[in-house]
Amino acid sequence: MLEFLTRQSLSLILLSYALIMVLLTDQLHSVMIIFGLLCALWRVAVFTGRVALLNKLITNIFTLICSALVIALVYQQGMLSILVHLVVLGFSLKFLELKSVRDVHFFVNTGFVLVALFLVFNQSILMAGIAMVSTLLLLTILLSLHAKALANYQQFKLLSKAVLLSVPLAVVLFVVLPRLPSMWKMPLQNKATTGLSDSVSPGSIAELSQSSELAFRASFDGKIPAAATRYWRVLTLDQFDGKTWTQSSQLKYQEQQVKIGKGPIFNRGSLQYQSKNTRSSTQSVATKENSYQIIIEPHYKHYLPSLDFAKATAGRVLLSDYSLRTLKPVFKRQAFTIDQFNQVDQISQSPQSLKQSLQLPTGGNPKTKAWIATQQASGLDSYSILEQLLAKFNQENFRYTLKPALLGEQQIDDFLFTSQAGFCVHYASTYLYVARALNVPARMVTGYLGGELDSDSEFLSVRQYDAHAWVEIWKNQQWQRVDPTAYVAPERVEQGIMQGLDDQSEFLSGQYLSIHRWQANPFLNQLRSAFAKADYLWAVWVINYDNEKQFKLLQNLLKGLPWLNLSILILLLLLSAASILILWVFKPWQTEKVPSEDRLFNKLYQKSAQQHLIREKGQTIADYCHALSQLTTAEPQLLIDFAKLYNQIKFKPNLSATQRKRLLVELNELQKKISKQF
Amino acid sequence: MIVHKLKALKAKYFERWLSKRMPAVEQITLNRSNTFIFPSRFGGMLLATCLVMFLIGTNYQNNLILLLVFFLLSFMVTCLLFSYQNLSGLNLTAVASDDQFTDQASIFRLRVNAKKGDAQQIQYFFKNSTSNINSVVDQQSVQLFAKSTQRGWFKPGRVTVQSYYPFGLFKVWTYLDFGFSCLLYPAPLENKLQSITLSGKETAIGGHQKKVGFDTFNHLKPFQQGESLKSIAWKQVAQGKGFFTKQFEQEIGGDVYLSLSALKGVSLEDKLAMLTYQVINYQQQGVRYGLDLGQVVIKVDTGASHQTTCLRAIALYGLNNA
Repeated sequence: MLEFLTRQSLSLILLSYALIMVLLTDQLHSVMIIFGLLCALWRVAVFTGRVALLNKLITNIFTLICSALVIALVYQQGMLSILVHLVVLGFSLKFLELKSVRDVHFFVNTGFVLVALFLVFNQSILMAGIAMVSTLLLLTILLSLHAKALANYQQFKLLSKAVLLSVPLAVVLFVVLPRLPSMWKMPLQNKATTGLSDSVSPGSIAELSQSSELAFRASFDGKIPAAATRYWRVLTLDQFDGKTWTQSSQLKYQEQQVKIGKGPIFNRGSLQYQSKNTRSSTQSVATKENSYQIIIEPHYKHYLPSLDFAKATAGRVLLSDYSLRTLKPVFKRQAFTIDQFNQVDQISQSPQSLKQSLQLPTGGNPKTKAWIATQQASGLDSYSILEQLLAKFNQENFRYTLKPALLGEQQIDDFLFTSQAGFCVHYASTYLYVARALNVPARMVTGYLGGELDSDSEFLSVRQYDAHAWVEIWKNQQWQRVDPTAYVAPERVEQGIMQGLDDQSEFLSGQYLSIHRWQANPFLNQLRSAFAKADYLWAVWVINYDNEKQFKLLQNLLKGLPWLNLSILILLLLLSAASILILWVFKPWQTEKVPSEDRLFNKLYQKSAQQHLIREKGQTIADYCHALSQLTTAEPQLLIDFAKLYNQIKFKPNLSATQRKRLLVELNELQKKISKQF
Repeated sequence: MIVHKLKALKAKYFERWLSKRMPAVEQITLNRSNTFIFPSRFGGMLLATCLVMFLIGTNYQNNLILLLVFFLLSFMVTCLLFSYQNLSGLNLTAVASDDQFTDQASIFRLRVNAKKGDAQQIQYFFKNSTSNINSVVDQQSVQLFAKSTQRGWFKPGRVTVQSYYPFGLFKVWTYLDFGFSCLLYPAPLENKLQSITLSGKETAIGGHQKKVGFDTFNHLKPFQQGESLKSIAWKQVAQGKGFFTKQFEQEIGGDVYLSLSALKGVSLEDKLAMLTYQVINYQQQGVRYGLDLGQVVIKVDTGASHQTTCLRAIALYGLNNA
């Protein structure tokens, strides 16, 4: 078969195929990726002439089989995943059987859809940049097909010109077009979620600590709270089986209710409960202390990190453990504004939940129990014993490390008396165990601690390695935060995890490429913070640009220009974008200006050519007018005068500007006269 | 049947509209008033894709997808202008075409004059394409091909000029009437009917005329500087008579009259094709020939213009559009 593609087109197609497949790697089943690789190999082999293209029948059968296989393969992962896989399959198969320009067109169109699907999952500025690169690659494929004759640098020039010219209009459209609400519920992918999980055992947070992935960013309207008080609450765990902390069935039920969109019902229930028992707390109304905006990275769950204490608002639910949930899972970078209150005035604890906060596995950890018994024997009360435990963490040879030794069956015993090395979960877990053993209601809270301020102190970046676990105990009729880690590694609380570690090389070990590992390098640090800032602005102004922001922005523009109204402003913006485009493309200032006398002649000629005589090539104007005078109804003398005058204006030397003007007026009159007589 | 009729009717009205809007011209500069532009099939596909992406973007409330859609739409607007700019200002001039034969594709020429960098990837072909090859394009001219089996005046009709440059998103095109026409001679049909044409009508002046040639020796003439040494009569030089050159001459064949009526047993078109062959043949041989077509009689003569006259007469025989 004749290869209709040039080497350039094929390389571009291969490149964009590879790029798009890499972009979607996270979303694709491994079988699909292998299939994609095979497709690419096959196509290259076709190009080099080693194998032939598949024929139509085989391709069709193949397509059907593959589609069925793909659906069977990813059926569990939900509609979106099936959609992505099917589009990728079509993309791969089209890539395999590129036979004509039309196939390439289909390929490019599918490519655009895949880039859009990629953007469903990824929205950071970096990813958007990569998506843009793939879009440009796809456009270059078109150029290599339809502007073959151009040299590479010319193609590059043309593409950049076209892209740059398209930007203003695109931006104006983006800014002014109102955002429509979702028309129907879109399928979500049952994706492996990132970030905190709903069970914690020593080890799981250590894994998170190895990730420098962004969890969320926050900016405050008021003062930014000190690092040591920035406890971002996410989850409460109150069930312990001796190894792992999980949520009790009560909490799980609440989470379940949120997932099916029934959050508020629970809130009402708790209010009723509260009104019966703790009237005193309703009297003190919570006051707003601060307000902050969170831009959260997609984690495909309902979690919404919040500082103590938040309130339920539209679309959000406050659970009985004070943690905040969104009614819809966070599947894209999303902004939330949360108000911070000095106390929580709605929910108090039910007897069941307090009882749950005392739950412990029966048996086990004899050494710890013995230690408690000793302390009790010395006449200390429960809270004092807990303080003793914290003092023990502080004074004895406990270490804060992300690489603790493995613990045996008797986890608490092992940690407390043998290894004495661990991180937040170990300390929290041990403290909890002791507290519960002492009959003090206690629960584990997981979330994030701290976060890094950008250079201008505008916003905080909280990363997965900021994940933390701490404890709350029930004391004086309220939950009080205790962070056992602070007694081992106070730097962890005040400055961040890197400073908290006894051996700082443990931080992000194995991630040499991670820019966060090299926080000591000032240049890299600057670069990192500049990038973080750009990404933050991107999240605020692009990803979370909505009708509200749009309205504010346009209102601000209007303030400066009181004579404008909104619709005219929008129209003006659109018009100016369009005119920039048109002016730039046609460059009217560069076109040669036709001299006035020629313009007048052309006016005359347009009419005469239609009705009488076409001017031959090389025929002078005088000759033409003469020939015309023989044919038309117009007075011959007028035509001859016209030619004479024309020649005078055109060729007479030393014609002053005023003379010239006068003659032109005359010529114009003649032209009009003749035209009338035709 | 009705669909067919409707189509024909539509074509007719379109043709009428076209000829009103763009009458036949010899030279034309493409501009707004004489070009059409519309999204190509691919452009339409991309618009549909944009709609799909818009739905995805709206439903996922994803601004980046919307931004991508807006960018692609805006890119299409840019392409619209680029595509138009590529074709606009293109100046085409028709070149008068020579007479040609029916058995091969006739060539029509256009002179192309474009701004630097513009007029990329333009396709030229006759709207009613009849030839396998449509055109050969080079820097400054275009050769268009059309084929007809009918002798006589051939009008290939409007020329389509179109381009998908630069991204294939838009088709810019126009149908231009350059009033192209050329005379088609019947394709020569090889035959050996010499004897028939040497009939009684032949004026037997010929047969004895001589002209300078190479065949037979005639006489000696004094040598002149510059004459070939090969033709020097060395014998005479040896005899001491001085330098002479040998002069040769050859006989011219007899004048012939080619007559349509002398050909029998074949169809008229074949007869004309045979005559065409003979005209060409005799012209090549240098034989003086005349042509008798019944209504038209051309006297014996020779030379290129005589050949053209004869061929034209044959081509137009019996046609009323002479």
